[in-house]
Amino acid sequence: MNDNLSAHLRTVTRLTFFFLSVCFICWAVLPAQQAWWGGLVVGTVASLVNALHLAWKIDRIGARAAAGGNGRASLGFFTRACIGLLAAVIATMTFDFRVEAVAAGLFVAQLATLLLGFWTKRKRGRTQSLDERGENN
Amino acid sequence: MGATALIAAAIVFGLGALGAGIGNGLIVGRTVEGISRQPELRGTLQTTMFIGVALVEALPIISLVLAFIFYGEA
Repeated sequence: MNDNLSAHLRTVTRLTFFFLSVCFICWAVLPAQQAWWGGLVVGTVASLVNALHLAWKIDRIGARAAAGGNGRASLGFFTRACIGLLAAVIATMTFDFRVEAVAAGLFVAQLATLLLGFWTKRKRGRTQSLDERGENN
Repeated sequence: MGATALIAAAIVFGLGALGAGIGNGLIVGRTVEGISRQPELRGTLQTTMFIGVALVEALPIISLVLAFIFYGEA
């Protein structure tokens, strides 16, 4: 996988695991709301799997475009939609978790991606302006 | 309530998938065009594409779960 994308993905994975650990701690400390924390955990795991699958697909599309290859390439949206649906079904049918919490958890890796993207862009812009003024030597 | 909930499920997933399809098409098309023109910028373009697609696709996936909730209530 490309270095830039893989570094980004590693940070997203780290942030998601950090969020999962917070959820597990809250699950242990507040057992009365375990249906919410459990749903959040299941949704977050599905969201992380979705992010990894998406990164793999994007890398394949990029490699094909760089090689100048022809043919159809898909992003695998229905696979990811089915992973989200599977998480909701497992959470509600098997564990009696809240499906609203699963829906919220499905957004965690994407939110981490967005925040990390903003942060990286801001950091890059600051470094660039320091380089232009000659203060970063 | 039953028929209304089913229609709501169909609308929420249908419109979510429509918007995501248009958005994904634009993002992937422009990124592939950019990579073909400048293959050395592949890493940067792929990361930007990853952020864009992840955001665009979060909404229909959540709308699918919402449709599932509506379907369960029907």
